[in-house]
Amino acid sequence: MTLAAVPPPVGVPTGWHFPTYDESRLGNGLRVLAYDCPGQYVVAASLLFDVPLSAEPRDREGVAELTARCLTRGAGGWSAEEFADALASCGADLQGAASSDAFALRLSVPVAHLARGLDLMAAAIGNPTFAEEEFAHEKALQLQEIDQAHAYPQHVAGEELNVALFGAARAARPAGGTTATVQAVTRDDVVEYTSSHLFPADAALIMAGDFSSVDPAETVERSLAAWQRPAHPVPDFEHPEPTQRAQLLLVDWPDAPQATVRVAGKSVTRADRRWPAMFVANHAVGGSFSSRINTVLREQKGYTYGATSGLDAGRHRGTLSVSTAVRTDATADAVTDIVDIVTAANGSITDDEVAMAVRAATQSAPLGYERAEAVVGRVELLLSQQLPLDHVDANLERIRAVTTADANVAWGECIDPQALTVLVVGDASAVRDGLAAWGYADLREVTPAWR
Amino acid sequence: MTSRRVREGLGFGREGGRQQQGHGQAQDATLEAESENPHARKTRPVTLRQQTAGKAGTLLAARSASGHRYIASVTADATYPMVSRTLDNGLRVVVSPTPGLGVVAVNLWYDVGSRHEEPHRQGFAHLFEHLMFQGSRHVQPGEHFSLLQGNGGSLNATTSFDRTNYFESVPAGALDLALWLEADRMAYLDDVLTQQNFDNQVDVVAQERSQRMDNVPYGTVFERLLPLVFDPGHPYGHLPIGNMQHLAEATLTEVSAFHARYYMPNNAVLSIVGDVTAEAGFAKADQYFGAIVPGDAPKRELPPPLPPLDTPARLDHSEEVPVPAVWFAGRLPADAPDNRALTAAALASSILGEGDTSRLHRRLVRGDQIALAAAVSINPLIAGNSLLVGSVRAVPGHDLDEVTAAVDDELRRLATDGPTDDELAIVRAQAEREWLDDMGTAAGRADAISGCALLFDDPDVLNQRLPLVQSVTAAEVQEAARHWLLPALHAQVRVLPSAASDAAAVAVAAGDGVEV
Repeated sequence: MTLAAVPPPVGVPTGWHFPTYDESRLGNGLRVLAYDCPGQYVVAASLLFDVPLSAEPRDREGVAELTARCLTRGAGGWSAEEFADALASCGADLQGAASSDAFALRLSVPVAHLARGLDLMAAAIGNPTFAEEEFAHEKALQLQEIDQAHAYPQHVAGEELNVALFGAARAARPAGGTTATVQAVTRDDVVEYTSSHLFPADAALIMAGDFSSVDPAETVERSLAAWQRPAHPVPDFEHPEPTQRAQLLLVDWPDAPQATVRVAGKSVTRADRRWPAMFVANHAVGGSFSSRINTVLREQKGYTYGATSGLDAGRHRGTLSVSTAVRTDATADAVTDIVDIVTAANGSITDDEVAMAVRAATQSAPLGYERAEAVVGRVELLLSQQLPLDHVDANLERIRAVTTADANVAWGECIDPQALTVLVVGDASAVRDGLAAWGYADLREVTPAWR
Repeated sequence: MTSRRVREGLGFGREGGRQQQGHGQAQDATLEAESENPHARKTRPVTLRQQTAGKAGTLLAARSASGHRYIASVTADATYPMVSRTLDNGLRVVVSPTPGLGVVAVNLWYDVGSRHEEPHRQGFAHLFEHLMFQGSRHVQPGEHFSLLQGNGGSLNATTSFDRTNYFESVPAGALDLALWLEADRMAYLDDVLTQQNFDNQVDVVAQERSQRMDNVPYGTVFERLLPLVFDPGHPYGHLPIGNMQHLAEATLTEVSAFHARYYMPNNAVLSIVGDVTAEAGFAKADQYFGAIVPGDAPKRELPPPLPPLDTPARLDHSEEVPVPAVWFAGRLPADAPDNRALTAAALASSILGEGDTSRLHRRLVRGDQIALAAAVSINPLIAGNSLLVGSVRAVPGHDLDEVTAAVDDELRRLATDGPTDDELAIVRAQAEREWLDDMGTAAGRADAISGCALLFDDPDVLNQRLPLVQSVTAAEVQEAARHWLLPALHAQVRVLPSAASDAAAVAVAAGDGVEV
């Protein structure tokens, strides 16, 4: 048998671009963006509101998530049970979601049932019942979920990393609130949140799917044009500044077979001119399977099932964070390796790494946006971060132009390897001494506030 | 648990490596093992979603809550063309063209899974799958990933009970590259494998197990549950992730033997789905795979179908978990081309435990408010039986006897009264939506096609699945519930919070005294 000894050439992809959209505006001020995605027979639609999580009253944090949960628990004269039946019987799913930079009500429905799905969405947003009994039960479930989440080391690592990075900002605290703040939320708070923040003027309905058999704008008009709710000023968005000094933190997790590790520091937002170069640099450092971090920690040393780094960016904040879970006895070695790799990246990113990152980013776009849900998700992100709607194509163009020098300069400017926060959730008795001996920063053992 | 999936989905803003999975119920997470977690897109495991797959184009009628009957129109016809051919060396190839898509999915299913493993090498099929990424004659270790990701592709592999699955989605221009890489490791895996790489992947798999099971609350439940449903010696008596001690004792020689035994063109299927014509797809398949010498493919030997459990074993286990939870599992009919009985059982399981409209959710979570979450699902399998799995997490303060009494009550009620018309309409609508969702990417279609082609030797089975869902009657659902789902037919594992860290497993005799 014969197989060529070298890989076959790869054809240059033809000019992909992000799906195009039709834009319209309803009389009530709702902006409608419809992306036609042939072959996507499950329509994704998201009603997106311009409201930051930091708009929650400090002592009622979690009210946004609780509102999101309650919107679909009875609406338009239907009981919670009837409403769930109505959704399920047209194969639809409708979920609210609150995040740092937006509040969304998301619908997923087969295209044949789009009109019905939008009617249900309109009922949920326009005429939610907020029955006292449903409110009380959703609140109880939310409180239980807060407790449950604390049994998962990965979740705790994420929460404690935010605490360590963002100090007093809203971003430091759990999106869904704490036990104390959720306990304090009343039904009136949910009503108030809804009337203050979830109104049609300047909200956006983003939808994507195969619209060959339906007129999306007309369907939206029929379902949502009648929805009225007075507009209010949009609250200010916070600008959380990540901590910029070396920190080494340990959360004890007795008998954990693995240590859950996060290494994070200040980076940039998508609006920064260095974003494309940072994307490329991060791809080389930890953003892909073949990256330096995964190659060392997984493929060379076998410490972990996988290690990645990512750029987490919101409207006004940007961080780099490395995530992994490693064998307990390799914890100190693993965090040392990670910080060493992040440090060594400065000035050492190669032409090959840049070329690979550029190809990976630009050529993976058609795959990344194959699903209607992915298209809507990206537009949600663009609107919530106040980026232009042509950002995807423009950003890919900029990534194509990134040089090796650009990647190295951006990494050098944006990442301070002496100012990283290193957080370990693991068995303190087994990892404490190794971490303390490392010397990156004084080891500080932290106890989560809920413990 | 769908609500959590969507809520957590508002993960605005991360670029680069994928965030590791958050908390959530590990319903299916341990029933299959993966090669590469954090960087790749994942296709769904073969569960009810694919089980209920079939041709779209259905009329559904369901009562709307406002009192009038909502008649939905016919969903767009979303069938996909499929052309099959078998190469001279026995490789079955299916091409499904979607012109203009810009991407192509390549998907190989090999007819080997954890059920084929030697008793003292549990987990070997999955370890082997990892080694398939450690280079082959013309491919350096790590190159499989770097070449594909570096050309915009996404890729992974998974090992389940019945099969091992390798897949990548690439821009159309990289189809040749994907096929060449797959062909090279099918033909010559062991040319470059070193002891060092082998040892490294044994370590990686051990960390995979830790990350997915040992460092996760309730993470080892399935490992405890399976041997209660199937004898430890049964092909489904152990999980694909396997036994780490067995893997530590495995040798490089065994890797070569495993490759020689199972990895050959006539023990695999290849599907190519997306922006390629049928002629070009077959020509390329032949160009890269055609010269690979066939082997002596193992004959498929399936154990006889087992009846439902007659002595429902129960295991109580304590560990550091937030709330008490119970998992139950039972046998179901094996998957087959015309799997009416399994489809009926799948619909019964959906009525009981899929989503906010399900009976367990309404009774335990919403009504009695004694549970935080309740779910029932099926795992279609071919070796004699499929698997039914359910789970309930209790509200603190309510013990598991109370919870299981309510579950048992609902199981009996479905068996006694059958489903309502509205319930049947709802689960059919859900199945249709899941089908459209699964078929929404070339990767999803390729996986489903490979599955039917490998397991049933007939990719067209795929197109018969949704019509089957639509044609199964209320009486058949009731009969499935009566025959397979009654509480006396299930094993259960109860997980109880322990203050002490030395989690002790306690075997509890149940029924007429089966010791576990």
